[in-house]
Amino acid sequence: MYEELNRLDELSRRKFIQYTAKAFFGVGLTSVAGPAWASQITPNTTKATARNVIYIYLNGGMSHIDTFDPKPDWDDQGPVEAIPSNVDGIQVSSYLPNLARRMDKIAVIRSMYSTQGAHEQGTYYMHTGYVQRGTIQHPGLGAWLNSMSGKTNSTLPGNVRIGGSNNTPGTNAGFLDAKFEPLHLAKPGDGLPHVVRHRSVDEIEMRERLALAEMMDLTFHKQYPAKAVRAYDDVYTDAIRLMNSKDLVAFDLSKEPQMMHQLYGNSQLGKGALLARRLVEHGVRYVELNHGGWDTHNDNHDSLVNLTNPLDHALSALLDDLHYRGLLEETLVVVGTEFGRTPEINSNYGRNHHPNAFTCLLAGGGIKGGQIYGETDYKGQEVIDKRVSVPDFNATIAHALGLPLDKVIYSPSGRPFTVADKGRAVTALF
Amino acid sequence: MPPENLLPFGPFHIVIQHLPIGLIIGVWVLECFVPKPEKKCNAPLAWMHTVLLLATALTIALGLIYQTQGGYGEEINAHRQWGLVFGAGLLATYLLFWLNTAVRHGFTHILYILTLTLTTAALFVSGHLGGELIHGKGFLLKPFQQDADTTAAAPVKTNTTQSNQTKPAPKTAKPPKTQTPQVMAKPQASPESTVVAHQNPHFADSQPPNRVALFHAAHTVFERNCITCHGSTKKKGGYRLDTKETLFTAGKSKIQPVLAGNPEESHIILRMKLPREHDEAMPPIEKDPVSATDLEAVRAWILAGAYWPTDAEIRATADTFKEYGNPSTDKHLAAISATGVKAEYNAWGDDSVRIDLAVVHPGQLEKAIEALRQFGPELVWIDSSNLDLPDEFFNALNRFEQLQRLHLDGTNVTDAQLKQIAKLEKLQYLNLYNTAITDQAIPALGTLPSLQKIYLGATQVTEPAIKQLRQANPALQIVHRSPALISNRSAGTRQSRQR
Repeated sequence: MYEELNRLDELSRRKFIQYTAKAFFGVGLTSVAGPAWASQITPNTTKATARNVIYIYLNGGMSHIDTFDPKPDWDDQGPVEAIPSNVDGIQVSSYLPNLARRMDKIAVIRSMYSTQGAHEQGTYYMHTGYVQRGTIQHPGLGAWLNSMSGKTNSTLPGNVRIGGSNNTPGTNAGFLDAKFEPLHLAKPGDGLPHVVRHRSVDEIEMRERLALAEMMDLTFHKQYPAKAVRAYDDVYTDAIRLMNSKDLVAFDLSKEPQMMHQLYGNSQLGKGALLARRLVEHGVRYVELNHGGWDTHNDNHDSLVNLTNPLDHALSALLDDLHYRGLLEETLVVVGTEFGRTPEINSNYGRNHHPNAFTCLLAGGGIKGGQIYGETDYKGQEVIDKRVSVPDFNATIAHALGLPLDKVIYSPSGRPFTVADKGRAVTALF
Repeated sequence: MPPENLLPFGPFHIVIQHLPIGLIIGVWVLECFVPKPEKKCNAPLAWMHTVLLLATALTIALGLIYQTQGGYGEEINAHRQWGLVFGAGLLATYLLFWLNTAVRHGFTHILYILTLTLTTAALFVSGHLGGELIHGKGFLLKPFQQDADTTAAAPVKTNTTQSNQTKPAPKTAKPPKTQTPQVMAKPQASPESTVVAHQNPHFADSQPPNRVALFHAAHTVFERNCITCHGSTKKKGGYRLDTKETLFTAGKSKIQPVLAGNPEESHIILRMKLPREHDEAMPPIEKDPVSATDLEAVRAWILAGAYWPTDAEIRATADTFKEYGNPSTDKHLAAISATGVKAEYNAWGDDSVRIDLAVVHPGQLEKAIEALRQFGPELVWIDSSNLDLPDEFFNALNRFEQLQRLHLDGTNVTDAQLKQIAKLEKLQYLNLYNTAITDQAIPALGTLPSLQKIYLGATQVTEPAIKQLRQANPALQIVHRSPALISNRSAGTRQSRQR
């Protein structure tokens, strides 16, 4: 009886009709596209070299014209200059002297545009490629990657977020299984909390407790063999595996030599970048670093001095370190933000939200560095060439990772979704 | 034209129409299966008849209001006519019911039942036509046809309950693979076109699939740019691009959108070619424009006859994701994965394999290397970084003649062991960062014919040896320094703002 009821709970109207048709007419509507995509990956015409992603997310909306898309001839450029970089014809702002010497590794997309002008919606859009809706939670890119091509290290989580808030919109696993949820670390320097057994519990005691818990769960699991119930179990199993992992040291920054700490600098972002590099080395495939405070409505230029400093330093260090270790070829470094900021300076010396044009960066992972993609007008107001939408940007990341862009995945409610919502990869960047 | 203030009520037609359907069935049941009371007038039946008549009148009125708004075009005519026939029939039935109640004669009874039957039939016809308007033509039978031709078509996957776990899952239906895995040469950048080709695996095939490929290319453009407004939910201007029938049907402006074989005069193309500011340009100015490549895809499809494939054809191409691998490699992958090692097919469009030894479970390395020996030329990428590697590993390396990428960074590799890999002719990438190798190993590295990139940072290798390596292989990219400390930019950074 229970079984019958349980089966009913996830019964959709479509399934009901299907069952009815089966029962009364003796026919079955063979499922045209079930979730049988797991074992296949679409052949890519260009080969995917990126294996991992380090995504530096600049929360709040980075001012594009004060950073990577300077407009020296524009009246409201403010007290910042454009400086030449180590690539002919590419200028960046004087806030970024170190990155200017590394532009040969970076592809700058100056033609990003978004349809969302508020932080929550914009952040959600950037992370998922879908516009936020009340009826469904879309998965973030990290969850897509791990669900489609699996984690590398079987004991560490495949999807880690460092810094920022635990419930940043669009970063979670959405309708995908709970095991693809990112592990969130509030501070990179603190290591991974709650992974050591309590001192009163030895290994045998621990095993006994787990066995007891399992025993108590057993009947429930039998009675309710639903996906959501199994997901809980998966999360527990993964947590125990993580506790016993030999790779837990990946989370311990004190294992890095002093020289590396100096290289990355003392900022939270620098520490986060160092941790991200350690994690990637140990087989974590998707690490997002959250760097907040870019919402410069007041005192835009003063704030930017303090904001670009760690970015310039940490990103330069990360690119160097990955390069010398030979990891940059297979690690895609992404710098993204939800929107740009207005060309006009407001009465508080700040700049307001500006989704019509902004800039994002890609480096490593098969991306051809030292190139500018797209163009904005004389003041950075509108994109005038090679527009790149947010889904296109996400599709480009997915393309670099070799994910099948046109493979339809069905949510539990039976709705079709693809990674990056029909966005198109910008193949000219590779 | 109905009065303006009634227009908003039109859509209620779709709700109210269920009332007559239910009531007429109720009348049937009462007439046929419930014994008649002795009384002269059958009160429940009379009530139902009255309500049925009123509900029908309301339904028809709402339908007439709604017909212009719905944006349906010609195909609504049949539905309307049959609806009116039903209304007239029902009125006749109603009158006959009272006549029969009054007269109670065998003839009037038969006449009454006959009219009721015909009226019900008219309702079925009208209702079905209405259903087709909403759900599309042939909506009732489609599932059954689908079922019939899926079973007839090539073996389509049936494993719907497979979990979201990753590979390697047993592959049941798969065309036999004969050729050994061919390792791809360099990735060639072919901008723009790659995406279209990627989405259409049959693009280069012979005649019939080619039409389907053209359709898919064009339809992808429609899905991205058109169908949200011109589809089953919105149908702006009375145009829909999501079904075969509506594609050639004129909407409110009475122009057929697609003329098969004649792209230059097809309005869908003309509209997309208009300058963005033009009032009639499609997509409208606030939406994303259609790129030149997309326009070309639609044009090519119309030129080739605007072929709309059958459901079976669409399904046949929709699920032709090439499956990687072959059973023997699958088995080896499963075996080595049991030791915690990550082993998988590359997303390179071939059967090549990548193995990440570095994540092996503690104490399982020897078992993993044993399993590694089972692989052959399909193995192109080994990551064994940060491991204490035994000699057997290096002895095994020579079997992998197609090996392109090798990570030895952070391992205990020695100069002598490195000499063994000099036979790897296809090796393009070698990572020796943070190892104890010295200048002794350099001559061996210089002889690797395909080597493009080598990492020698944090090793004992000296500058003169690097120079020597550069001379031996001028095209080689050598990364041998360690990152230099980054200077913080001059603290003051200029005076800020004050405008």
